[in-house]
Amino acid sequence: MILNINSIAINNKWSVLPRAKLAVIVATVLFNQLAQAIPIVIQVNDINAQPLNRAVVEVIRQNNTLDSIAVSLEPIVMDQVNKHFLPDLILIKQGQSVVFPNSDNIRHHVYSFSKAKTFELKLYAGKAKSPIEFETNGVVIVGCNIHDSMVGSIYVAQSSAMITNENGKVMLDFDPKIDKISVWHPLQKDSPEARKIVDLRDSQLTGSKEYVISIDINEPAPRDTFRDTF
Amino acid sequence: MKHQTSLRQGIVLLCTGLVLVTSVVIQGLSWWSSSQLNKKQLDESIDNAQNVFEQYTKEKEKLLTTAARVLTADFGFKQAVTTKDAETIASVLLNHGQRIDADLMLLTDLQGQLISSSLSEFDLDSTQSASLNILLTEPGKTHFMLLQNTLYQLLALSVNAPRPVAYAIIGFKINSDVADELKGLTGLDISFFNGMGSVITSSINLTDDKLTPYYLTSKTLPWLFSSRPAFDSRQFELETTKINPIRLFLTADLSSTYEQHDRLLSSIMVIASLIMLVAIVLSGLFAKNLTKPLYQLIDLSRAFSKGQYANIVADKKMSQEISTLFDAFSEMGNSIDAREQKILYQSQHDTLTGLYNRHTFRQVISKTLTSGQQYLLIAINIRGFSNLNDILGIQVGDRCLQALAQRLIDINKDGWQHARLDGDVFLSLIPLIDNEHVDRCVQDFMTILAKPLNVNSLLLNLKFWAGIAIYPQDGDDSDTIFRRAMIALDYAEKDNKPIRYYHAGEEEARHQHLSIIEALRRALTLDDGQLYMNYQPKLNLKTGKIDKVEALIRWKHPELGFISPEIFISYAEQTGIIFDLTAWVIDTVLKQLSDWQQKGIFIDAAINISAQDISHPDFHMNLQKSTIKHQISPEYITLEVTERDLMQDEVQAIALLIELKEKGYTISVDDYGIGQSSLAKLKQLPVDELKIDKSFIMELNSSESDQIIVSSTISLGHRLGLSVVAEGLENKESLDILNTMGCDHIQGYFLSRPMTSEAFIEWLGSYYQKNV
Repeated sequence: MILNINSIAINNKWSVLPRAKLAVIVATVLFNQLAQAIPIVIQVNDINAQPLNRAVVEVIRQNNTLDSIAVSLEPIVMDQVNKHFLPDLILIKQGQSVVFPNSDNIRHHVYSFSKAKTFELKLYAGKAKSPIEFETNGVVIVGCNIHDSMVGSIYVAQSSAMITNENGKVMLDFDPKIDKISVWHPLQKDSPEARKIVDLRDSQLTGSKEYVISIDINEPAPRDTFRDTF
Repeated sequence: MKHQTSLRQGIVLLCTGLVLVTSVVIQGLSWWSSSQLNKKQLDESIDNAQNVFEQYTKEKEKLLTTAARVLTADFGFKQAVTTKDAETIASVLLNHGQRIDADLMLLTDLQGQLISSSLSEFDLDSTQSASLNILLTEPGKTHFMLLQNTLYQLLALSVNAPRPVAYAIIGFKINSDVADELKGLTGLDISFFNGMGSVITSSINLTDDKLTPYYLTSKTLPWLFSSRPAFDSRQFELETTKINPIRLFLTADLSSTYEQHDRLLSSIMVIASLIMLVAIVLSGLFAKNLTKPLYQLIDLSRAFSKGQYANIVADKKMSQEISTLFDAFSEMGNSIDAREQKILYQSQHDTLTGLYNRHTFRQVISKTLTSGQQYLLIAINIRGFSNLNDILGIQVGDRCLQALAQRLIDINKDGWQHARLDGDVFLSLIPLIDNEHVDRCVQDFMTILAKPLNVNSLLLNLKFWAGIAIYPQDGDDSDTIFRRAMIALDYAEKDNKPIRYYHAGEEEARHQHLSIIEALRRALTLDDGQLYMNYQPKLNLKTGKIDKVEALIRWKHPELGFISPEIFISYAEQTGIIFDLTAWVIDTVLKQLSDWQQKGIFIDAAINISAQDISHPDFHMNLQKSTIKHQISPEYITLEVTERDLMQDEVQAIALLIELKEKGYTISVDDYGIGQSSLAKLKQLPVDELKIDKSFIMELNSSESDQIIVSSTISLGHRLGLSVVAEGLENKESLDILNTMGCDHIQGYFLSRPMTSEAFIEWLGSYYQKNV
């Protein structure tokens, strides 16, 4: 009963991506066993019962037993294109590294004051100096000191984690050891690094093992405003 | 007494009143308009102040926001905040706060829990926490808030790292400096009050316990008898948390406005008072100028009413109208004076002759008579003046009177004064000098008057009756002397004497005469038997029959006794009552004749008629009425008229006699022989009978001359176709003589005395018995 987070495959690795709204992150969760068992569906909604994608759902097992997840040595890339982090949300495994190349022709000053990882890449252009390793699980919010509108999120998972699809759903293989999950969303109104712990045993099931979790979020900050241009 | 305002007071009141009303209206209007203007300006300045304040806070907000943005974006700040090290954070807040001159810097977590503060020992109570939470819901918008009794304009901004991790709250103190700055901008005082009404800060320099909203809205300043508000305040609540409301007062201090306003009012008042003073003085002078001539005119009118018509000349200073009025007054005075003189003259003088009139002359006499001096008062009357008027006309008569008056005036002797009374009666008052002989003086006077008078080229020889009374022996006062002169004139006319002096006692006799007249008048009215008729028979010598009687009136007054017919008939003739008396006699006699005729005694009656009767226009008619009333034919009636009366030459009377004769009345001439009858005239008169006066008959038998006169009179009468009656026959011898002479009738005591009708009937019976 091992949840494998194989990797997060990113197309055109290290290449400049077109200015797409969101890069499609394909996270494949592999269920070694009980693949045919009834999955647990986690439905994440906003408080208006609208499905919320890009929420990160992480499994918390009994006794905090951790998955033995193989960590890819290849660092994950969070590029900076057009004064945006691209992608602006990445899900990594504890101990994985992220590189922050600068694809803009201006300098950026990437930093994070997050508890999970505090770092600072002072003004630089082009390729980042070195990948940053995220040893601690948790949420790391990254920003650019000179471009306030640049916000990126790195979710450092301890165990199996998934990002909700456009319908706000993730599907988990049934595992009797899973009794809690944590839910986090980049735009949540709660403290940006706080994760909502949901005890599945307390939760009401609807239909076929579907758990509905709602998170209050802020409206996405308007982009491309005059202020953002500078 | 009715209270009357003088013209002068009226003018002064009017002018002063006008000025007063004008100044009050101007003052009222200026007061009203300036207060309106002030109010409007005040409103505008408060509006402006409010705008300025809003603008000020907006600007402040902008500044604050900008400063805060810069601050929260500071990397070092963010870094410090995320260290979570309290002391570091506090020092950062202090440091960065100073950078932007902020008075207050706070840091809270996203839930609003205070993390750090730039102020030492700063703690939030629950109300303030709640207020801060509201502030956090509107980041970037300023709020006013009271913290530690200090008013702040606060702004909250999130600290993004890059997601919001905390809120930085930045505040600026609103203190008296700000209030003063705002006052400098708006010109109005600014005060901030908390919800309890305590002052937070203000530009007004007053102790905090004094400065209250109530003070600003209700404080008044004493003014005249009331008070007026000291401030004009507008208050509004600041955009702030409802939990701890803060009110802002924009206050205009009105005292300077009032001062300006009062200065304006007082200067208007002073000017109005000056104008009023000038108006009073000028109107007083004007009124004085106007009324002074009026008072002069009043004095003048009073003088007029006293009969003083002194001329006054209009003052040169007077206005044209007043001068004209003065001239008109003077003119009026002069003409009144002239008219008064004329009226006075007319009232004192006879208009025709210019001599004094009766009334004035009495006063003249009264004034003139002085004791120790003799005066003659001569009253003259022109004889036959009415004839003169009839013949020559009234105009000539008037000229005649004027000429006579002129003659009197022309005498022109010292102290001689003349008057004309009614008609043709003149009076002259003549002082006798040195006991001049009265007769001589009168004669001289009459001689002057008797000279022929030239009137309208006619020479008139006037004849006069003159009555004279002498002062003081005939009376020692003017009225008496006047009266007695008139009595003397009266007697002169009656006695037909050219000059007649007043005799002592005549006035008293006249008084008796008047009382007899009065008694006679009453007797006629009463007809109670006092007056009665006696009848004296006449014997017809031709037939030897008593065919006539003479009716004779008798009067026995109940108190005065028997009164002689000669007296009372003469009085009756003088007073005109004779007409009524004759009418009574005719009626009584005709009634008697009627009685006798009913008894079968048909006898003629002779009735005595006076001259006045036959000249009276109603006489004939009255006579006719009586004959009709008593059914007596005129043949039975003889009317005896005395020879003197017949000779008076009254044309009218003669015409009447002719008429009566034609009617069948017998006309007899009484007392024939003693008058001045001319035979020629006798011939013309309508006479039937002559009655020879008894003075020729009474002693006929012994007087040869009487026999000649009677004989020739009888033969004359017969020749003229008249029958002849002899009256006063007293003896048989005379009767025989008369028989011989051919006399027609006799009457007298020899036959019978006059007697009552009853006695006559008896007498007649016995007479016929004796003489059958």
